[in-house]
Parts: sequence; C-alpha cells; structure tokens
Amino acid sequence: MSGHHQEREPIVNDDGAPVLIEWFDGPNVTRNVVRFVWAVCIATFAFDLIYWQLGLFEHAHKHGHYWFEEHIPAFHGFFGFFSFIFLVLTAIQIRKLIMREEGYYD
Amino acid sequence: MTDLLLAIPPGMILIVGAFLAALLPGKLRAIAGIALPILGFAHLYGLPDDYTWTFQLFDTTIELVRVDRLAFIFGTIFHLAAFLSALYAYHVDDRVQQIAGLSYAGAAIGAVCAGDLITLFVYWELTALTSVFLIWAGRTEKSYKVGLRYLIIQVTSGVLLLAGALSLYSDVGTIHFGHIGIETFGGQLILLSFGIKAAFPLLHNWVQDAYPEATVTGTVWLSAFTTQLAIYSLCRGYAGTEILIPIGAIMTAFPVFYAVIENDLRRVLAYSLNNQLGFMVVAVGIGTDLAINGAAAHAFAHILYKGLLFMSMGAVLYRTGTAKGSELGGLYKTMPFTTFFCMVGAASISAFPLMSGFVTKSMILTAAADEHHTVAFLVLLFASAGVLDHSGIKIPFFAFFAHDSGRRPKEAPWHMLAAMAIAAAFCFGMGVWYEPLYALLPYPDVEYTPYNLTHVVTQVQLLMFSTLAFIVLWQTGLYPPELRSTVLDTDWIYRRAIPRVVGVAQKGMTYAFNAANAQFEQVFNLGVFWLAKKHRPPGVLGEPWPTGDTALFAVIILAATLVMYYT
Repeated sequence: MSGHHQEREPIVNDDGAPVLIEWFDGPNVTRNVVRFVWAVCIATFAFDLIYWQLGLFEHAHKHGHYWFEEHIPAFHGFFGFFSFIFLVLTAIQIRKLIMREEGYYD
Repeated sequence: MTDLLLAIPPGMILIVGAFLAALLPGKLRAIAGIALPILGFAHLYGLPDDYTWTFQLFDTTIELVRVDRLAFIFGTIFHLAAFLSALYAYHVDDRVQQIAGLSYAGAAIGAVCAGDLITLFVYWELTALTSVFLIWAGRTEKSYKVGLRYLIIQVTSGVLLLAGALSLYSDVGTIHFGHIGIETFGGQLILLSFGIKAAFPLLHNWVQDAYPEATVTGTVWLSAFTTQLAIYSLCRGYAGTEILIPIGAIMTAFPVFYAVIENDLRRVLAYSLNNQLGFMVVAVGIGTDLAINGAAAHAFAHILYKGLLFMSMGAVLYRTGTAKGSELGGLYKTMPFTTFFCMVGAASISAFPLMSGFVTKSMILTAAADEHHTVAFLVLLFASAGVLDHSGIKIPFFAFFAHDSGRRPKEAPWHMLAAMAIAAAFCFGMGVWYEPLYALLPYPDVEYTPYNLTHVVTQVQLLMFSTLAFIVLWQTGLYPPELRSTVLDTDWIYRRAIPRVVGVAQKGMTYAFNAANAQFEQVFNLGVFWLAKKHRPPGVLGEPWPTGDTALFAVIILAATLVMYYT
C-alpha cells in the first residue's frame, strides 16, 4: 500500500501459511492452454488426413470396426465435438424444466 | 493352520474384525481398520484356486464360499478399496462409521465369494444394513430421512432376491448361483433385484439421493461396493442377456445431461457413477468373453478412479464445508496436491491414453463393435464425450479453477493425501502396465492389446475435440454456470408426488368419513329413539305383563328344551 502500488498481497491459506502456486492466474496461461488444445486437434486431424486417408504411405491403415471410423478423417473427434455441444445445449433446456430452488425438498 | 484359514469365509475377517477393533481406543482403532483389509486380502490370496466350501442343509447344497476367477478379481479390488477408504478415514474418531465401513466392505467381499443365492442374499442384506450407518452418521434430521429411503430401497432389492431365489428353487431345484437368465420368473425377479443395486434407469435415483448426503468419508466407502457388487452379480448371472444392452446404453447416456446441470459436485460424481455402470451393464449384455473381461476390468479401474474423485471432493468438503460448484473455485492455490490427484482421476475416467480408463473401457467398446451393436457403440461414444464433460472437466475445473471463490482452505490432511496418492498411482500404473490387471480377468485366454496407433490417435481426437467444444462454449458464455439449485429426478415421485397424492387422498377420505359418520349418527339416533320409545312405559314393551302370560312363556320354553334334549 505505502508506495508499493500494484504489488499484490501474498496469498495465504487459512493457517496463514504462504502459498506458492498461482501458475494458472498468469496472464498467458489460459491462452496457452487454449492454443495447446487447438494445436492437438489440428495436428491429429492433419495426421489422420495425411497419413491414413490420402493413401500416401504403404502400410498405413486406420483400423476401425466401421467404415465411418476408417474413412472419415477424425471421425471420433467430430463425433465428440458435436456430442459435447448437443449435450450441453440440451442440458440447458432440461434445466429450465427440472431446476428448482435449493431448499426445494426441505 | 491351513485348515483354520480354509474355515474362515472371505470377508469375515473384516466383519468380525470391525467389531473387535471397536473395543480399541482412539488411533489404534483407526490403525486396525487399515490393517484389517491387508489381513483379509492375504487370506483371500492364500486360498487355493477355485476353492469352494459347501455343506448340505436338508436337501439343498449351501455353497458358503466359492472363489473362482470372477470372485477373486472383485474380492481383490474390494479389499484394496477398503484399505484406501480406511486410510482416507484415518482421522475419523467415530465407532459407528468405523464399524459400518469395515463390516460393509466385509459383507460385499462375502457376497462376491458366495456360491449360492441364499448366502448371497444374507450378505446382500448385510451390505444394506451396514452401509446405511455411513449415511446416518451425519446425525442430522436430513441424513436420517435419506438413510431411511436408502434402506427401504436396498432391503426391497434383497427381498426381491430372496423371492426370486425361492421361485427359482421351485422351478429348477437348485439355489446354486451360476448363470440365471430371464427365462424363468425367478430369474426376472432376481434381475430386478440386481437392477436396483446396479441403478438401472428409473431405479437409479437412490444413488444420487443417498451418496452425497453421507459423511465425507462415508461416500468414499459407499462408492466402491454396493453398485459394483451388482455388476459382479450381473456378470455371474446374466452374461449375454441382450436386454441389458439397451438398458446399459440408456444408463450411460441420460445421467450425463443431469451431470451438466447439477451443482453439488458429489452428486455430479453420483451421476457419473451411474454413467460408468452403464458401460459395464452393456458389456454384461454383450456377454462375450472379451466383454465380460471388459466389465470386470472396468469395474476394477472404476472403483479406483471414482474413489479417487470422491476422495478429492471429500477433501474439499472437509476443508471448506461445501462441495457445491457455485461456492467453489480457485482452490488449486492452497490445495495443489488434491488438485493434482483429482486431475489424475479425471484423466482416468475420461480414458486418456496412459490412464487406467483407457485400457479398460476400450475393451467394452471393442466388444460392442465386434458383435455389431452399432447403436450401442455410438451411444457409448457419445457417453464418453459426456464423461469428459462432467468428470474430466467440470469436477476439477469448477472446484479448483474457474472463478476464484476467495476461499483459502488448507491442503488435505496427510492420510487423505496418502490414500489419494495410492489411488492415483494405480490409475496411472494400470494405464501403463496393464498386464497384471489383464492377468486377473475372468477369461485369461482372450487376446487384447489396448495400445495401437489407431486407437490412441482416435481417442485423443475424441477427447481433445470435446475439450475444444468446452472451450468454445465457455468462451462464448454458453456453458451453463453452476447455480444454487435442486435438480428434480425420479426421487421427486416418492418425495413429492406420492406424498402429495397421499395427502390429497387422505383429506378426501377424512372428509368422506366425516360426512358418512354424520349420516350414520343420524340413522343410529333414529333407531335408538325408536327402541327407546317401544321400551318406555307407554310403549309396547314398556307395559307391565300379566303373571299368566309369564307362566305360559316359561312352560313353552321348558317344553322346547325337553323336546330338543331328547331328540
């Protein structure tokens, strides 16, 4: 306070012991995590497309039980992505129907 | 010595030991609690292969003990779970919870090692009677009511099992617990009984009702045994019963919607438990050797990572007094180890490569595809994305990251961390070094390799694209926030609808009764008035009678007596 403007108070736990770990509050952490996820998605999609789908490599074969697993690049990825979106958007609608105040049964 | 060991049924060490340990003071009791599962496992391990202990009771054979491969793998994981739960609960200085936890585990172990349906029934009810004390140990009005509801449902399951066993005995003349199937009426009753404990759709709600209301450590105990005992029983009795495939598929899919919107994170885990059981039920329905291996392996892995997740949420509850997503966030700063262990559990349940869920769940999916159950396969894939949402992301994210709640709780106590560390080590260890687990499976001859390029890449695609979906929804503000709320489920029927209907019916009946009563009273009064009128002096019967009439009556009665006596 006295002159040390912008200096944050150290985080302490309920016992007053200082806490060392605050990594995830850093300015770039969220951005980097998001970038990492994007990178993995793009990389695995590209791998699927180039290595398995284009037929450039002799012994490359994507083993799937169904044709859609084998021949749609990143089928599992897209299936997961849209499942997730569908799940959350549906759940929001369900919430309107069945959500009550916290002490409903009391 | 060997004879003595053979004369102890598995599980009995924990059950009897729990009551003996209760005589010990303070910390010694807790230490005994940790030691008993180790002792129990040593005993189980020391039994000869395919050991059975039978005796004749009247004209039926009671198989008190039957330890085959299927029983052994479940017995093993139950001992491990009991050990971890006891270690986790080391701080608890409450005889009720200590006895209840250990004897509950012992009853479950006894049940998986029971060779006939009557012995199974006895242990089945014992798991209910012991575990309810873990809920009642909360010692509040609420926990009392929850425990009562839980007990009613559990005992109902047991009664159905007994009825089914007796019906089966009259049909086929044996109470041996082998394959049962649904061809007989008894078989159907027993399936219903197992279905209640396995939390089949619409029979599921006792899990979400009871588990989050148990004590911090009680929930950890509860999560391991009852439902997995049901999975074991289904593996034993209903392998290849096709109706279980749609039932299991529904079980995997519908709880994930609930898990998205539920605020109490321990209740989210209860829905997640339901969803994971669905995978195992599908596997039982498929019923091939690979599928049954998958069910057993997944049960084994699931007990550890679900236990780990419940332990981490328990630690949060223990330190902050709440497990509600809306009141948590930012705890990673002061609880970094708990955070890390929780994330290990989350990665395991989501089936990231190198984690235990990956090497077990993939067996079930492969078995489903092998047998061309395409719809079930796709539903399981959908449910896998759902698991990632509620257990992989929601649990760790809302408890430890998300918005800083300003809470600065201490790290969990050492013994909780130790229990979590061991469970986490298993989650990672089994994912990497899966051969020992596979060697324990009921059908050792099935060839299965979890790691190949296609499988790893497609699984990473599934999980990372789903994570991306979360990021997109979060950043656009579409992801539903955690709200203080109650979410209605089927328990609404017996907690609200039936009491309401009964209440209305009661009112109606009271009204009808009162109205009828008033009418009756009127009629009755009229009757009384009429009688009184006839008997009072001006009435017919009120008149004084002449003596001659009375003498005549006496003669008639005497004559009648005479005639009746001599004919």
